[in-house]
Amino acid sequence: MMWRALAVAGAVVLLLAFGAGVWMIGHSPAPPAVVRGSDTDASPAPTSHITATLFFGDAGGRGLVARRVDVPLGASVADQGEAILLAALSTPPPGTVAVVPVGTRVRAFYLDGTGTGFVDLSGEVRTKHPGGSFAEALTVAAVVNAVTSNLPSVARVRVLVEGKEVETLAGHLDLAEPFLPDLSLVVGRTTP
Amino acid sequence: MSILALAAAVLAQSPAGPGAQQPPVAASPAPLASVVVDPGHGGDDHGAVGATGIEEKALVLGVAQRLQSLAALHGGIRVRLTRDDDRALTLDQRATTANSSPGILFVSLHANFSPSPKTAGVEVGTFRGAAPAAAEVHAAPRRGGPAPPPAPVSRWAALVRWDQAQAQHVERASAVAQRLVERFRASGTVGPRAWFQAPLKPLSAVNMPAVLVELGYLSNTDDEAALVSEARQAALAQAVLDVVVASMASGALPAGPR
Repeated sequence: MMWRALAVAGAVVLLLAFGAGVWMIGHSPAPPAVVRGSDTDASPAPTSHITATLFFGDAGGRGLVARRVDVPLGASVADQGEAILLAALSTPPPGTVAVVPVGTRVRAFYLDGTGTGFVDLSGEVRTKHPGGSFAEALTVAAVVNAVTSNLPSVARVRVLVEGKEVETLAGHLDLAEPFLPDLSLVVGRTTP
Repeated sequence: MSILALAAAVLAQSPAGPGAQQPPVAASPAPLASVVVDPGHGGDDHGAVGATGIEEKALVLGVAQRLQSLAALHGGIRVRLTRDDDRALTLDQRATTANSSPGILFVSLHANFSPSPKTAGVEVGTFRGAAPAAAEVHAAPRRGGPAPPPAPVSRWAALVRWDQAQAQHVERASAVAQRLVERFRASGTVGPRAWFQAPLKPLSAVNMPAVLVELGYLSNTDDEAALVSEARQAALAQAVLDVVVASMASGALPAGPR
């Protein structure tokens, strides 16, 4: 009787683990691989990419649109975050427009162990920013949502520029604290 | 002469005595309600730049000065500007100027920009901090019943961080923002966000109700063409003044100095 109960419990645990893995990687056949230091989001995987949800500007000017994009598999959560950000800052898919200034580079992405991810961007994100509170909100939301939508262990994101804290990107949004994901600027449906 | 007789004689000669004409005394003017208007950017910070080269910093300064002039003609409201020329100010310097004397409203003027040239219209922003403002919490209605009364606040709980000063004014600021959106909607285009709430750094340290008005999108050719016209600038300034006056009349803002 006890063996049967243990077998049932084991099956439940395996099913839950499988479900969590599928949720983490979207349509990718395997979860992102792993594990550096305290990173615990992922387990070994045979595939070389994940399918991430990224956010670009709506060509109609209403806000952000979500697109599913293949991103190289990272060896750790930090590496995966950096790969996601590289894709988020690359040429926008057809029908969308860039919301992060062209030329902006990802200098680093790292975690603090409390659920906060730090995105360190190059100075172009400020010096080439066109200004306006709307464009500024789209820039920040695209970066924050790209990370939090694809890395379940990251609950909030702090934006740094050239490794330092900055007041704002273009004079409007206060960057002194981390941001929670914000899908209020996202319009339409997620498309491949 | 007795003291009583002397006093009667003095009173009879005094112009202030019974039956005498009172000299005209200049009535002291009613104290003016102070509105702080903050033209965004300035100096090396040009702000957004339109396709024709119009710069946000110059545009918003022009509208701010028009608003100041209109208020002077209207009477009852004194507009203070955080800058009246093309100078660079930090956001903390602007808040310090605003907080240096009492005011009923802070209006930060900006022009917007979008990665899409299709986005257009006026938008109004209010501050949203890390946590809901006390006023918002108190205003939340209970299911099936009226809104609960505000909880008593101890003196120590009233301490407010400098960079979160706006959090205690969000309710009044939101009332003004809604009026502004209605006014702009009636007179022209309103942008996709209409009224938006965000951790707006130009407002966060301001210790009075504060709104950020995006006057239009310099990335949109129609908006840009309109914004360079004197008629549009005057109309925008008049709209803000009208809303301030209406808010004072309705009690949404104090009718005199805070």
